[in-house]
Amino acid sequence: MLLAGIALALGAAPLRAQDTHLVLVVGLSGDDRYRERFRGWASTIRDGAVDRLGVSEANVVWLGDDPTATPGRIHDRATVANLRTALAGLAQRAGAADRVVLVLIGHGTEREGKPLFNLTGPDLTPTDLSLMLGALAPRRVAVVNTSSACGGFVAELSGPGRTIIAATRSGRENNETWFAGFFADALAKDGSDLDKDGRISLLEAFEYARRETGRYFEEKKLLVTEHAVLDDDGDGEATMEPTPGQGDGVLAGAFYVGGGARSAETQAAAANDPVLRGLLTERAAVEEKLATLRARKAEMQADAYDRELETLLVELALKSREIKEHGGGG
Amino acid sequence: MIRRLVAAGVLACAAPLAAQSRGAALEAWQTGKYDEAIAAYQELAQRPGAPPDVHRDLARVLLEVGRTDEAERGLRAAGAGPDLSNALGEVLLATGKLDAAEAAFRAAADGRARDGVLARANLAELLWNRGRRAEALRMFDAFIDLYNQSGRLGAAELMAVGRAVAHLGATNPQLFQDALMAFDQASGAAPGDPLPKVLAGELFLEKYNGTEAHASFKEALARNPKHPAALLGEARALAFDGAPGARALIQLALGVNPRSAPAHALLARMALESEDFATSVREADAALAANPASVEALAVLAAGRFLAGDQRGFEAARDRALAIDPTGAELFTTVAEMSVQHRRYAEAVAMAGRAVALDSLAWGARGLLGMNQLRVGAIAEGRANLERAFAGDPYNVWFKNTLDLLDTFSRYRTVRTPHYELFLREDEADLLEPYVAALGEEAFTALARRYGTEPPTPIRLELFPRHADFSVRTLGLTGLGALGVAFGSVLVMDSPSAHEPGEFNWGSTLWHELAHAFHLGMTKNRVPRWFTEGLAVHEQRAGRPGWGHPVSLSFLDAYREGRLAPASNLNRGFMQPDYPEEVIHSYFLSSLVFAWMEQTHGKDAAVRMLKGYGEGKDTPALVREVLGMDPPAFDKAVDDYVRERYADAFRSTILVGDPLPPDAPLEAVQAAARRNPGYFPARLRLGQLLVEAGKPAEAEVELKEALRLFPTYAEVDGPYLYLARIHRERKELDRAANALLQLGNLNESAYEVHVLEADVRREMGDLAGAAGALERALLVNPYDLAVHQKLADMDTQLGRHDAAVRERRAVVALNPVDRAEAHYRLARALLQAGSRDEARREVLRSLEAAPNYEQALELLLELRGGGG
Repeated sequence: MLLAGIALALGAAPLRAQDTHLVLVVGLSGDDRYRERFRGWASTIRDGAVDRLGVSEANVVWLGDDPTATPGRIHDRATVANLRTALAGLAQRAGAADRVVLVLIGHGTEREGKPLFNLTGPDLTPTDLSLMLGALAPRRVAVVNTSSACGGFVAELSGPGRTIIAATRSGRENNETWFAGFFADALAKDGSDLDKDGRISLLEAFEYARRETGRYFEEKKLLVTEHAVLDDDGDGEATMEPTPGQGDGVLAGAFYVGGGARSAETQAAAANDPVLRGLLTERAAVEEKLATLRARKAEMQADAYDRELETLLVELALKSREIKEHGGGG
Repeated sequence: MIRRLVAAGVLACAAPLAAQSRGAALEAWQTGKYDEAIAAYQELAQRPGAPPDVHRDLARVLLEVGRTDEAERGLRAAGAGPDLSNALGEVLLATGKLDAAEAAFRAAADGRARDGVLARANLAELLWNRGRRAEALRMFDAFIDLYNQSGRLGAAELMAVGRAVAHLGATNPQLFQDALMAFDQASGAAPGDPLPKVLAGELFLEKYNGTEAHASFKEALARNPKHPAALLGEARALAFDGAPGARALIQLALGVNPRSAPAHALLARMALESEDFATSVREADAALAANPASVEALAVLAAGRFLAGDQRGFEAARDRALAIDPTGAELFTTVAEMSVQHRRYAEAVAMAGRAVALDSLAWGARGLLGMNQLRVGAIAEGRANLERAFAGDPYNVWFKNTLDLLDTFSRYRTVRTPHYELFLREDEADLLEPYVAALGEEAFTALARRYGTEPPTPIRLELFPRHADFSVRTLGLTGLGALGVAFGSVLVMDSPSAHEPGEFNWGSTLWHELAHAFHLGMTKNRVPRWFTEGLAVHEQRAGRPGWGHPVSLSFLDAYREGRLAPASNLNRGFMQPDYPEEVIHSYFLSSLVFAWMEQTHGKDAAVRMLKGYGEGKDTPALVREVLGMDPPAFDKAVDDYVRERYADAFRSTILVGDPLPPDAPLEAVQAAARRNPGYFPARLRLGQLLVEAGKPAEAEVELKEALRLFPTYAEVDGPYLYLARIHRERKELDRAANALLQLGNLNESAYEVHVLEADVRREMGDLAGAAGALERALLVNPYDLAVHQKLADMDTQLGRHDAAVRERRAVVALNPVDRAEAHYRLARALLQAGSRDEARREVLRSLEAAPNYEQALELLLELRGGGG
């Protein structure tokens, strides 16, 4: 995952950093209990993205049930039309390399085999949404549908450059869902930066939310009624356990929400410092060796594996020190 | 002519009249109007030329109500020809005259009697029950041909076929289905006869299908509510379910037939199961008086004597039973079953072993052997025998459930500690092992010191994350209400993950079960249930403050109303409870017996009594010998102690006037509290409502008064938690923490209370106190990641590096999403605890997950001496 990140960092034009745009859509709640819950989750996602991950406040659009409830935060009522307008506007103003994250929070249903996200007025269908997202191409787009019975969105939204996350694996999982709360935690709290690179990838956020959702059901001794899935290889087939190496998970592993100060500083410094650039390249080579070693773990003796692992990690540690001494981040 | 005409006229009328009378007699018999039926049959039998069927039916009705002498006399007076021989055989069989019964059956079977088919079935069964299995099997086998080759069989023949085929099921389990089919057809052929339903019910019960058995017996009883065999069958079905009411049904059956040997034998068995030896012997004797050849009664008698340590008496009963049935499986199986009821598992293994040695087709005994080998820790042998038993009897749900559970054992890990063999499921073994091992060893050391002896070791301690698995491991069935069971040195219990946090304290349960292991070891499993349960609860209380059953409002009510057995007869409360809560109340009361005993006779008294039980003495003798008093004086002393100890609670929980409705408004509760200022529930409720109404000062007064009235009230909704909230709100943190501590010291499962206390103490800066509270919380619920993280942080700050390592390991074992962080923190803790090599391994695990984890990379360099 880090290799991809580095490659992206080195290959990307340093003149303009990739921006993340966040579109939050909070659908119909039905009652006060859900209204508070949905709004709370959306608020956590918004604050996590802005305050913790460095997404510009100007890059956040929040469509909700009641724009007057939290003035200045909810931009407009959540309807199909307003969402179309918001995404069209985004297509106009976002940079070509920018990333767009669309999060749907609310109730979902499946009617006659067709999945729906419940909004004021007409419900949102995956067909509608796919058309709207088409305007954003070729940008990297992620849709995080956290509603109940949302698994059916995956197949229609799937496509090149798109990461689709659904809180349920099918339309039959139609109980209330909890995934959104843990996805919000992943963006807002410590504990989701699983590779400790100072950034939160969508894959990390997905993994965190998926595992914590499972833990929630286990602790409550409840039957698990939601199984989150992710698709980002464009085949329309989502998986519950994506990996950064291949298939579903590759794009999500390199799709960072916001930036992370450390990597941004390093990129900027490397642009003007050939020594630092060289060190970063050397570190990337060590990381590649590490990735190769880890792939061979199952076929190695544990002691031998640990010896080689330690050697490479020491090399990596020393290289990281050098990078730091040359003004790079970690 | 005229006479002939008259006679003919009489005859012409008499035929339908006789038929009507017979029909009425049969109807009366089948509907349980026994006196009416007997009178009708007697009237018919007295008629000149009464057919044999009338005498036969009269004898059968008399037999059904236990008037066997009359039945035999009547049959003999009627000539006892071939058509009456079978009925005579049945009467003789019921009175234990086996040789004569056999001769009578043979006479009917060989003499082409009209009920010859039934006679052959009776004869074959008799031979089977006397151990002449080969001959019996040949005869049973012939019934298959009879069924297949006969056109239309009557109900009696179909029942005979069913009984024969059921016996053949021992060699071909599929034939049980055929037997049921035959009973079903018999029922169709004679819809008014309850007997086919009774036979079907008995077969269902034999094949462990309680639901269908109940249905069959109930159908029979709907037709004849007094049918003794149906009543007995339903009683057995209720006992099979563990449902109440069996004894009442047996008494109903005995009301109809006071000489029913099976009914008396069943009562004897149930009494023995309840450890009521005297009643058991009395009932077994009653059964044998009715039928001296009742192997069922002899087996219970032998079991009682065996369990009482009366070897000579056991051998006498055993030899009588073996003289009747030399294969002896029923005898030894019953002794084995009763041994299980008395927690004598090793003896159960020995006796079941003898049963299968005598009868290789005794699948029940084979399974019993396997189940009990599992209970004494012989897992491989137990499994092998269960597999054989299940192959022979694939209807047995106990065997199936247990074998299914054994299939999951490959997912468990065995861990040795100095005194234990811990058996933990892989996915929670890493987490639980340190806590279970530490507490287990602590308990072992404490109890070994207490009793001055040790049970056989290693103690095998199995923890099951699914309560159903624990239940199956214990009983072979789901639905056991207990949390743990001690078979001796094999302890089986729910893992903490088997319940919601706060439902039970696994540490306290472990301590309780280990105490049983000591008691069972010291007495060779001869300790009565009340004694070991009460003493085990008493030991729990010594383990940690707050452990063991607390006093409850329902206990106080039950005690006040005299709904608990006195101390000298407390076993009844466990073994024959009159109401469901009596068992739990008996736990508490029996634990108070030991509190009293320790206070008045010293700590050694219970130990001396245990030794006495080991020597075969009973409770009354030991009360006299060790406590120096008669049982009535013992009862009074304990009663005085209980009333004095809980005088406040008894006084403050007497309801005066009408009970307050649960939703009574504040004003109504205030009025009630004014009317009854000494009534705890009203003062508590008022305090709670005042807190909710935002009146903490007034609430505090009420809550403190409630506390004064009933200081040991242990429920979480009691005064302490509300007082803690009030104090915390006022920033009186030390008082809040103290209130929470007091509550935690009354209620062993108050998980949230411990966690809250930890939070308050942390706010106070009392890290050691906070850590102590979290340690207590872990004994209720060790699965909360945040608790382990907090405790690890506190342990680190307190310089308790080994404890911090344990907590960091727990975090890793809980498989957090952020594994890199968890391993890194564990590595740090290990380094601080001086385990550099382990720290290095852990930091590698951290970096394996997150190679650019800066702090971990630095730690790696540090561990290698700074420069790599």
